[in-house]
Amino acid sequence: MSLLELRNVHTFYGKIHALKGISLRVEEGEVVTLIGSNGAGKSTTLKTISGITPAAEGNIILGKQEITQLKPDQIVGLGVIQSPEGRRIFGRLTVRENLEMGAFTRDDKAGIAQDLEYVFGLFPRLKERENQHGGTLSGGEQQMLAMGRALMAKPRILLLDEPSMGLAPLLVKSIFEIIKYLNEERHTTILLVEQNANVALQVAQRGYVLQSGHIIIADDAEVLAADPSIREAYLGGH
Amino acid sequence: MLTLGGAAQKAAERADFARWRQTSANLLKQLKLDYPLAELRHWTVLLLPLFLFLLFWSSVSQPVSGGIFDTLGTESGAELHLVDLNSTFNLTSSSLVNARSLQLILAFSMVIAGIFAVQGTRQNFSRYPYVLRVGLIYLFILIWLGVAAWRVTLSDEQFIAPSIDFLGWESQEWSIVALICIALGMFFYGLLSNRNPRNFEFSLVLIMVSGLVMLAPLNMDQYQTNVSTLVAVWIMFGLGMNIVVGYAGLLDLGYVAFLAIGAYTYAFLSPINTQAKLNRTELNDLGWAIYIGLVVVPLVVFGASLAWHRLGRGNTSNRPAATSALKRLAPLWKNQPPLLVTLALIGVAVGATFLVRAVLEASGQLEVWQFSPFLVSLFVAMFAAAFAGFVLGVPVLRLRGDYLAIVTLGFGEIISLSLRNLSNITGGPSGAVRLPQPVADDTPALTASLAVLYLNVVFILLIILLANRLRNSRIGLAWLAMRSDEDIAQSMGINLVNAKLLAFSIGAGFAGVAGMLLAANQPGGIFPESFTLQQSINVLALVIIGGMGSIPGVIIGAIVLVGLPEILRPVQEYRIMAFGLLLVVTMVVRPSGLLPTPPPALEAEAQNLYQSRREE
Ligand SMILES: Nc1ncnc2c1ncn2[C@@H]1O[C@H](COP(=O)(O)OP(=O)(O)OP(=O)(O)O)[C@@H](O)[C@H]1O
Ligand SMILES: [Mg+2]
Repeated sequence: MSLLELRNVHTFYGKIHALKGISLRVEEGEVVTLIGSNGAGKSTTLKTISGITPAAEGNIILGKQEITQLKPDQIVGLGVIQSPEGRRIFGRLTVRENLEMGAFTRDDKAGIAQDLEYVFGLFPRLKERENQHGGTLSGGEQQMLAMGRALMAKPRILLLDEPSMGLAPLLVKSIFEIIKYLNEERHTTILLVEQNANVALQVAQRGYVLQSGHIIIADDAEVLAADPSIREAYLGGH
Repeated sequence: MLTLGGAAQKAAERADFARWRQTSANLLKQLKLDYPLAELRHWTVLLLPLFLFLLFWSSVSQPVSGGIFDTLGTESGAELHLVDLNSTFNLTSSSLVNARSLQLILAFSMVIAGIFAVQGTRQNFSRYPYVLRVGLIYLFILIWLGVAAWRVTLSDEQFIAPSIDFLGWESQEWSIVALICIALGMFFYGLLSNRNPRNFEFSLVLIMVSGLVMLAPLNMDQYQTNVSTLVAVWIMFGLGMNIVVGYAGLLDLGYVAFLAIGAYTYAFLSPINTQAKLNRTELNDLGWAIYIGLVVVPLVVFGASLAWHRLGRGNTSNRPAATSALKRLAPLWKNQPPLLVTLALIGVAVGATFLVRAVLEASGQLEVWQFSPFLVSLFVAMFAAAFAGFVLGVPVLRLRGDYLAIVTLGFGEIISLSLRNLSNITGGPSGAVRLPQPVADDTPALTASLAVLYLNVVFILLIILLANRLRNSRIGLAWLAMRSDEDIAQSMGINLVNAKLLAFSIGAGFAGVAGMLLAANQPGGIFPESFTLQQSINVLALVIIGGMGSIPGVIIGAIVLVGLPEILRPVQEYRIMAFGLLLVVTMVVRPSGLLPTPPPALEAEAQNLYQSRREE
């Protein structure tokens, strides 16, 4: 049984029909990537799973439980954690407070302290800047903070929206190494949205291609990476 | 050999020198003053204007007799325009140095010395034994209690013992019981506060400042007392606004409505046909109805929903989305035992009071124990305002920024207009007049005012403690996160609806208490002119000028915004202009407010101290 499953999900922004019947599933322990051009509806898919833009139709199922109607905070409480696109961190809180915010729904103090150490181990840069305001971090550091914050929530499934956006190639590499590490060593299930489809397909086991609110292709990552039409459209044609 | 011996000696000398350098470096390190100095500056900036303000008040004599608030409200814009007394000022150079001002200088030096003492212990937190730190706190508590006890024993004519009529006791009995309670409270607070250096420092300063306040108004006259009370009320009002705007980032332009609700609640609940002084009678029937509806029922419902949540704790996912608003609010309190305990204690205290009353009534001893409406009004005012905050919160939940400001502005205007036009309920433009003061009958006017001033100070301290706890709690973190970015706060699992409603209700509750105490010191009555848009803007300006989200900032802000116009009276018609100029200059020179929350570097230092203290 899959950990997360979307069945024929439709989402609207007012009259704009952003998701037109999305069906996908993520198995326990998998990395699944969602690729597609700008405006295809990738972020909307993640927001719909998190309950921020609720689905108008269809079902979202986590394990055995239907979560379509739940409120965002309840969904977070169930371990579905999103790291939103565009380095959205709390600018006026310190790095440490940002990370503590990630653990907002938890109340096991010992576990939180342990995970804080773990995140600082993963991103030593954050440890150095522990008491700096989030807004004064560099772009890359902010991205690390956003990921670290998501990890602090102890996700059952982590929804990452373009974690490599706007980063230098070297940083992109290390971000993907961390994603790989999280999946392989920590057994975190990840749903990854990426523009950087080339790299995303290397870490993912399976992938979905989204186009104007529809899923047009679903297959194993290697197959997608080798598919000439996909290379043409999303991988820069080479 | 000789050279070898010389070399050995040289080596020994060098080692000696190195050791000496090491110790002196250590010494220097111990004396490292940059952080304490920054912190000291922080607190001095806070206290200096307070001191100057008090110094000024202590040196101005006030020949006009009788309560000036009696005439208040017959003028327009009553709040900040007290009767013009500048012609009666007697501001000679000799009046600046007199017994009163010397007393103040003494008290102020005590506070400064105290701050240095705090800094000393702070710096060497891991060095000095726990006993010494606790000792220091208790030393100050002892001094404080000594001062208080001394004041209690002074004679009545010196307006010393606040004869507040809570339970119908005589003033001295009351004072002694209050002192014992305060001593116990401080004892436990002292124990608790030592666990974290920030709290430790905070409580020391709090104790010292309250000691200063104890000393200060010894010889204040009616005018000075009234203005001080007004400043005190505005501090409470500002602390409430600080939660709504400073912590949660919700711009509320109709905030004065809650002040009005608090004040008029007091008027509603006061016994009808009262004389200027409280005739110790029953709460009127309307009062009982409101009391049961607004205090007892919510407490019971809240307690029940809490029990429901506690019992059903565990995997929240198995439960359907809770249906009632109260049930949904409960999880926010989940990790808040202090707040919970506080609420529970309030409930128990009120319940116990009534039980005792019922028993005494049955045994025919009620004359001694008659219950003053003051305490009841206090809770009702708080809950009524908090409830109004909740009611306002519901429709504006989805609004942000400018839109929120407009809607709250409308709400404030509705309340303001209602006060003016619902004449049969509120008394209309001629106000709700002749309110009782919470003092025993035949108390001299000035004593009564001083008692209310002390009452205000006590409530300020309570509200500061509560606000500080809130700021450092999960709820506080949630508010700050929400202010920073609502969307992300939501995806971190914060229930925006609950967080906003809580900010609105708690902020409004504080304002309700402020309004109630405002009315309690205006035997002349309360009038709609005191609750207009002007006041909402003032309180917003107060929070901004003090520094958004900063508690010391609110105190300074209130002193500057409410006290300063009075101090500026000597410059007569240029007063308002000078005041405006001062505000503009302030904002240009210190754009983030007079006393903004300390920069992260200071926080970091405190955090490190905390760590080293814990490892000890
Ligand atoms: N708040 C909104 N209001 C109206 N329309 C929206 C809103 N957010 C997104 N849309 C529209 O929904 C569609 C899908 O947007 P979405 O953000 O999911 O794209 P995306 O696949 O994440 O693109 P990108 O790769 O550029 O991030 C777009 O056409 C967008 O214009
Ligand atoms: Mg997107």
